[in-house]
Formats: sequence, structure tokens, C-alpha cells
Amino acid sequence: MSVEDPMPATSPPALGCLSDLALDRHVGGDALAAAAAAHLATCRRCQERRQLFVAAQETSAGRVARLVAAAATAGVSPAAARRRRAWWLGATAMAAATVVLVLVLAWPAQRDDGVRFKGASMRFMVQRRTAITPGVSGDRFQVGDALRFVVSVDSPCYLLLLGIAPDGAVSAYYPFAGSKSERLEAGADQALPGSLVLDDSAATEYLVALFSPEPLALETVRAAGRRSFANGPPKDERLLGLPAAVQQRWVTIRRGAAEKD
Amino acid sequence: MADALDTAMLCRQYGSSVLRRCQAIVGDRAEAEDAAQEVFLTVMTKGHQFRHDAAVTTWLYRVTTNVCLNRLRSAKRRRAREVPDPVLEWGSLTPVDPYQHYRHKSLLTRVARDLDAESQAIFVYRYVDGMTLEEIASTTGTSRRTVAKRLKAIEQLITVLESAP
Repeated sequence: MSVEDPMPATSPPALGCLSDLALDRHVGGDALAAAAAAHLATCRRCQERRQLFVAAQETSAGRVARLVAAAATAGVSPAAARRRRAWWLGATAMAAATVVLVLVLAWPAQRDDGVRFKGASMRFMVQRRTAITPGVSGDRFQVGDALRFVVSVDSPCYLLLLGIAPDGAVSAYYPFAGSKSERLEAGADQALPGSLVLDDSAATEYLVALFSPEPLALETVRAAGRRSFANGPPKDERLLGLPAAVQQRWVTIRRGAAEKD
Repeated sequence: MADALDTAMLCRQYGSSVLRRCQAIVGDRAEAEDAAQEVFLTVMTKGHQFRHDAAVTTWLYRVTTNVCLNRLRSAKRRRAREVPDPVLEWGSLTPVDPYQHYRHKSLLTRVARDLDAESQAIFVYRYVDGMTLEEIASTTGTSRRTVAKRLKAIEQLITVLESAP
């Protein structure tokens, strides 16, 4: 006696479409069965889903790998990860006994490319255990504090949030592990995904946020970071080599001793 | 065998798949990232339990489903005794992403109240992942007949829930 497949009409993939499992395997390199391959060749919906999976693999896999690597390095067990929210984004790069947060706001002149950049603001929230408070420049922070950034822009622009080590080495936090700045639509209080968690490493790091009317390449900013930090943190609180129209604002956050649980 | 699995490689190859499914099951993006992290930490510590008679993809589907369903159950218990964590709301400020297409959390939450753990997993495989009977049977290690029976019960439950005022 055969068992009928009671695929309900409301199930996500329409009848005959490939399951997510089948698509995942296919994207992972497995060959499809003949019938599935034939369906995929003619089903626009499945083709779009496959494209979505491929795109996600390119954008998300690295992030997951970093999250897991950071947690593993910190010795987090699965049970611990389950008990509490584990925010490990940037944990290794955010290593600092004293953390200086540098927010650089770029304000280039208007251009005629359809992207007009007028102004932007950025604030951050700090979670310490269960308490969440607004972050204030000059405050001291502790190991385990998680910083979440919220931006407001009154017109579309691009944002690049970077971490800069004392030696000038630059890494991208937003977009995470990206190579250029990410477009932001106009709007207030847009929380950037993920959080930065301060760990107990002795390194010092600087964070740089760049708002610009067009994408900024990470390599360009890397060069500016190396120049600016060649002799230590720049005292004039400016990155060298960026366009003259760039307006820079610095916010400093220092971290105190770790709290004991 | 845990070494042979090479967790770093698995993260790169299957990280997006795991994250997508976590997002589909638990809904909240930040919670999904935590869940994905837990999935791979579980792989690191329990990789030796992986039997090579199943595809890695299938095994990761199973681990991911269990981790996410456990989180949903824990979240339900937490909600009963804790005030809402405002941090959890931060995720709602981020732009809608493609993963939203796969959200069935509302239905899952309602259905899960009246299902045992195995049926919850079958619900996920069917309604979130769109698996066939054969795929569900293969993933859960049960027969097609058992899966079909469970799905029929799930559908009846959904009908009741959706017809309720």
C-alpha cells in the first residue's frame, strides 16, 4: 500500500518545487535527480530560490564562521550559548584594554548622481548584563559590554563602520567583513545588525564610521588608516587621505577593568 | 570523526543554510545568529555522533531543527517569567531581509503547543523546508507511513487552529 504525499497547498514550496534541503544540496555541489533538474530548468520560483541561496552563501557563511570561531575561541559551550545571548560579532577584533571609539562622519558635497547626502547621526547603546543604556563619549566600558549602533540619515547614503588596530590595520564591521560601504536608505534609528562585544584582550582598537554619498572601498580607507596611524593614533582626530570635504567627528570610549561575575 | 567533519569548513559551506533555517524557525535575526552559533558549537562537541550513513546536510538539518525548537521552548518558558528584553527588539529595526519569506513562526508557535517534539520537527521540515515525505522520513529516520500519519494529524490541527476565532 502506497502512502500518498499529503503536501498541503499552503506549504512554502508549491507542489513539485524543490525543497530547501534539495536546493541546499544542489548549491553545495550535489547533482540533482533528473526530474528535479528538469523542474529547476523550467520553474522560475525555484531558480530564484536557488539564486537566493547562492547569494546568502556568499554573504552569510563568512559571518557565521566568524561568530562560531569567536565563540569557540572564547570557550563558549553549546549550553552556554543556549543560556544567554552570545554576541561575538567583532569580539576578536574588538579586543582592547582601552577601547577608543572613533566615529568619523563624512560630509562630502552634494553630487549629481542621484544620491544626495545631507546629514547623518549615529548613537550607540550599551548592554551590560541585562541593563541597556545609551553610550556616551568618554565613558568607561567593561569586558562583556555589547555595543549596538543606531544610525539616522535624512537622505540615502553609504555607511562603512570599521575597526582600526593601533598599527592602522583596518577591518570592516559594517557591512561585516565587507569590502565597501553599504547603502543606507533615509530613515531614523536604523539599528545596524549585530553588536560589538568587548573582550579582555590587551589590544587597543579604534572604530571608524564613514557616511558617504557613494560607496567607499575598504582598500581606500585601509590606506588612510595606515597613513594616519603610522605614528600612533592621530592626535588631530582625523584620518589622512580622505577627501577634503570629509567632516570628521571623534567619539572616545575607554574601557575599565572587567567585572567579576 | 569530529575532526574529519572540519567545523570551519562546515561553517563556510553550510553556514548560510543553517542561518537561513534558524531565521525561519526562530524568527528573530539576532536569535537566529545565536542559534546558528549553537548549532556549530554542537557540531564541534558532538561531531563524533555523526554517522556517515547520512549526508552532512541532512545531519545539520536535524541538529539545526533541534537547536531551534529547544530555543523556542526555552523562550516560551522565559517569557512566562521575565520582562521583555529590549535588546531583542533591536532586530526589528533592521531592514527586512529575504529570510522573512521563510517565516512561519506564528503558525509554528501555535501548532507547537499541541505537538510532541517529533511532530514539531516534522512540521518544520514540511512547512519551513518544504520537504517531501521521503526527505522527511530520511531526515528523521522514520518510515514514510509514520511521517504521513503525523502530517495528517498536523494538518488537522492547523485546520482547527485556523478556523478558531
